[in-house]
Amino acid sequence: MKILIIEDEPALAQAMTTYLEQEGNLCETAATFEEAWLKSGVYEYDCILVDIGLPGGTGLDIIRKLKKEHKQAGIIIVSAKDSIDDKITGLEIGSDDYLPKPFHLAELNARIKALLRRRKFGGEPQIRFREIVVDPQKQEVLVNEMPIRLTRSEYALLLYFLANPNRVLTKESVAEHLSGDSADLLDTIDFIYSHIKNLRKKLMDAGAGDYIKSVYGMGYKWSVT
Amino acid sequence: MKLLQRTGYYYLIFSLMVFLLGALVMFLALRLVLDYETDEGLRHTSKVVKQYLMDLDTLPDRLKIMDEVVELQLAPTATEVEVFSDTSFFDPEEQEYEPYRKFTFLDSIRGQNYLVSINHSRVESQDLITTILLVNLGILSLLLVSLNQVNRFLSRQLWRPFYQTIQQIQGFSIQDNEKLELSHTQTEEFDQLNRSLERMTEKLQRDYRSLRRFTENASHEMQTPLAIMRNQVDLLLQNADRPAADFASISHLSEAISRLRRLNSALLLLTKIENEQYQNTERVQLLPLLEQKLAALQPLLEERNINLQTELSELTLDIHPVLADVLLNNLLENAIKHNLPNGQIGIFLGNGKLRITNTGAPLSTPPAELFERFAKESTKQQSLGLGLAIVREICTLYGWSVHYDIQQGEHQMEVSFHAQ
Repeated sequence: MKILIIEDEPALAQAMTTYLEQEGNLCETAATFEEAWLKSGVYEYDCILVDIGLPGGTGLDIIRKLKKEHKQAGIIIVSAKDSIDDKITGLEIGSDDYLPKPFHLAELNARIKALLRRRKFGGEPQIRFREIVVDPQKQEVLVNEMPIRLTRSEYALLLYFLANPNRVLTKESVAEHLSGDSADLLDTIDFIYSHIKNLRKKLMDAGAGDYIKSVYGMGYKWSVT
Repeated sequence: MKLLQRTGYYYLIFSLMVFLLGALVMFLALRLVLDYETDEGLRHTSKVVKQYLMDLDTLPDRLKIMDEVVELQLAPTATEVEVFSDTSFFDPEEQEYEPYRKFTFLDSIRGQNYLVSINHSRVESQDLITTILLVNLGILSLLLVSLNQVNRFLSRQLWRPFYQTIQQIQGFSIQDNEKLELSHTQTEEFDQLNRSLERMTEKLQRDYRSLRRFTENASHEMQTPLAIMRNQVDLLLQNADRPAADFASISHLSEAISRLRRLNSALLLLTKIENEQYQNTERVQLLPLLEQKLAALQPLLEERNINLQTELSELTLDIHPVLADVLLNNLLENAIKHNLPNGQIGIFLGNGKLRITNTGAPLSTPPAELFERFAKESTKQQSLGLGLAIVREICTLYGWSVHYDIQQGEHQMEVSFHAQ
């Protein structure tokens, strides 16, 4: 997977690159509007992460250009300005997702995977992990070919884990993933424990392995050994 | 009391005092002059009376000569006497005492000394004084009435721009973007006042706006460093070869960053509501939204063994969807977070009201104060102290009322969606 990271903050660009490359992606970065404009015009990417506030211009112009040139890359806006207007404008001009800063790398990774899955025509629409199969289109989960019923939160949780196997996910990261990006203040830290417990139980009851491990009381890991 | 009324009262009191003093002086002066005239007349008459008495054969005690009452009295000594004094006589015709001026002098008639008194009626001069005083009183009343009328006229005409200014200032709000524009007037002082007020309010609004912008900008600027911290923590976590103590530190870091992020977005939300950035409203069905939230919270309620009782009916609101979400989240969050284990939550929705009751520990601060920013009752570290401030801000935005009551250990939060 080839990803262009348009981000003027070097530390952020570096962290994203490191995480995404561990996932087996190929990442390139652009720190200015100029550089982003050139790279996005010359090369083909599967996914482009765009920061809106850039030195030399706005990321929205780059998105407009990409759409005008009918580039196939999926576009995710990464913005420090968590504003509804920006989000609406971004989605209107053709970006696929909007992720406000500060985000968790695991969340970014999950969003990229979901985006590519949606855009990949004729590809594998399902997520498979050993005996577990998730069909995001039907919102269906099968364990050993048998469907199981999950709540909305448990389902979101499972997708998050499957997008980040073998990664330590902090409680904060899981909580924010569950509460979504609706400017939510709900103190979900308390909630995730019960959600995770229920998900784990349902999976194991259906005959799946015990993959969810607690890590030093600070987070969880979908453990593949 | 209006300024003109006040000056009017002072004018009135002052004029009355001046008039009273003037009337007194005038009365005394008139009397002095009239008495002097009378005395001169009496002295003149005395000569005629002396002559007349000389010609009389017998001397009565009392007799009338030329309208004057003359009294005679034997004088004990022969010392010369000339005295003017005031006296009064009973007038049988008028049935009342009438004032007289009396001139007493010593007269020797045929070798016998007499004290002769000539009494002259003062009714006429008294009448004159009264008439003069009455005329003066009339003039004064006329003056006061016309002064009052002038005052009213001034109040209506000259002071009109002043009252206009007052009215406009009363309608002025620092939060509005509208500038205060006051009229131009011919009166220099009022014009100065208006211009000064315009400059002052404009500066106030400008400062207020920049202050509000500041919070928003500061919040936005904080997002990037927060993102860097958070991502570095994420990367640190991926290396599993660490002592457990390191994970504890990283965990604290992660929690602190999360707290900072929530604080930041709560402040940003408050500022955005204040800055009226949630202007667009939609028809939001509260019932399905609430049911969806309750379903998501179900595992937590079970975890804490909290009993939930609901009485829900349809309710549609005109509200920004984000704020509807936040409102429900904050209220439900509070009801759960500050609840007791094995506690109760009651939710009533309908009739233009949302009422959430929950069991909980007694408060040490008055409930109304918990709507203030950073007001915390709970010792829970995770509590930001902004949840209820946001609830109140949302209610204020839409003109709803929100009340927090505690009765017999039961906390009750009620939002009335009727615009006030």
